[in-house]
Amino acid sequence: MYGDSGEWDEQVGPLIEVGLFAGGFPEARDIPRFKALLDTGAETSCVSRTAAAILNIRDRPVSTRTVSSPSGRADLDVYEVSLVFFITPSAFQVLEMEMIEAKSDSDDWDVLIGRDVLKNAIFMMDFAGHFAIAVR
Amino acid sequence: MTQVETEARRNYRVFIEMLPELLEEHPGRCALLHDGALIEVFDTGQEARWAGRRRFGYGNFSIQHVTRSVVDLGWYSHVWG
Repeated sequence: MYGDSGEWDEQVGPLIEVGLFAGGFPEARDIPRFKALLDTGAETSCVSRTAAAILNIRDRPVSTRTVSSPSGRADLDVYEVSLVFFITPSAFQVLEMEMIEAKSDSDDWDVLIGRDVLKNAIFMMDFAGHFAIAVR
Repeated sequence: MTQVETEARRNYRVFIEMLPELLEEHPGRCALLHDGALIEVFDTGQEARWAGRRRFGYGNFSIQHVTRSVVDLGWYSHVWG
């Protein structure tokens, strides 16, 4: 089971490092790594356009979903990806899932971990900003 | 710059036109689409995905959930379209 801990970034929020790939299973060292923001307010996880371009999946969406946010409604592309939680440099936990491509409000992260992942996790944060997460 | 319409976007236009009918017959199920046509409706997205990969290959099909619900990205959202 994956577990990690960290300190809340006051400007951004709780960040962890994850891997993402699409298609065939790469060598662990070749899995691109991204900063991920843990966001309990988002129903579904999202990937930035930058990360989608790195994964070379922008021309292969598997679906389109209508999303609602304070800026209104929009139809956005959905990709099949494998989300990787690194337990050690060579051991990891992989979740095959769908992620919505969306513009992020920050350059500090490329993956938004929403409630579709967090519902299978234990996430704790104290008032000093320390947090811990474990994913089943 | 003109963007090439992806398979998923082409299928989505067709899906939206068919949605009222699909909602009556297959609410909550998952539609497999290919080349602008509805192929089959499955109980789960996983079943639809397996069928799509087997029949058309990765990236050559799309799956749409038969629903009018929208994805809620939160009241204070970090992302937008």
